[in-house]
Amino acid sequence: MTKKKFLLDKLGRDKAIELFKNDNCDIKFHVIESNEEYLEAITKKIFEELEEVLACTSQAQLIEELGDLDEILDALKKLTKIDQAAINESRKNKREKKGGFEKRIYLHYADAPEGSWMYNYCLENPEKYPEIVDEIELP
Amino acid sequence: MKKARFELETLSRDNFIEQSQKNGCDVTYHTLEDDEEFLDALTQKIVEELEQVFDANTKEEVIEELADLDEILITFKSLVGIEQKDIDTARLKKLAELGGFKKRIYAEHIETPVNSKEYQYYSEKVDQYENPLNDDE
Repeated sequence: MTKKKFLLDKLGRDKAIELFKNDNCDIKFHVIESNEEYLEAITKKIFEELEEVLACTSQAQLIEELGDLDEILDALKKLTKIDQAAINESRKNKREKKGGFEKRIYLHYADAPEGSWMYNYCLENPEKYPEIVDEIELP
Repeated sequence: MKKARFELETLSRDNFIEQSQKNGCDVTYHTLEDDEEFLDALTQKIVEELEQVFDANTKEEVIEELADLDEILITFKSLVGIEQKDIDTARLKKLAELGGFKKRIYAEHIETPVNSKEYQYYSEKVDQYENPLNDDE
């Protein structure tokens, strides 16, 4: 029977090998031994899943892809031994202090006094928050 | 006092304007009335937050960044009218059928019979699963 090869190069679900074999597919895989390699594979997969979420064209698809994203985020939390309860706690605290995103505020730019919190924060993250300098400086 | 202007171009938490004004900052912003525009801003923010998860250096930072990601994902789900319980149902169904990621299987490549559903699936996503291995025709 004619077969065609596809490059997968990614983390597979636990039953994938068995299911592929049932369908007469030959799969080449290895089991990841090191935590570092596992973390790398999870990281790559998370970004892939997010791309799939954002590429969805129907509600049903979106539900499925958000489920996939949750599953791989779960794997990350397990590997890094982070409890969902700790995340929820942190989320609640920040929400109480800083609010959520209900007001739909989109920031354009800020004029920050030298030495202020925002001034320092922006200077520390120049790629995200570049300083806007006037093109023509008056004497 | 001398001020410097910084480009922000990002969605903000609800209390940010008030808090930055208390610190002597003037912030220029607008409210996103349009759902499409709000969705775009949320999408951009989700990607940003995810990047920050992986830039984190300590466990504490990872927890905080994962919490930020959750907050923005919750807002996203609420905007598109999707409930967490429906996501959980879909997730558990797939978990039962295909398993999770516990076995740490790294799939390298696959050979699919041309009449299989796998062939169909990967052929449709050939951009993603492009194979330089089909040189033996």
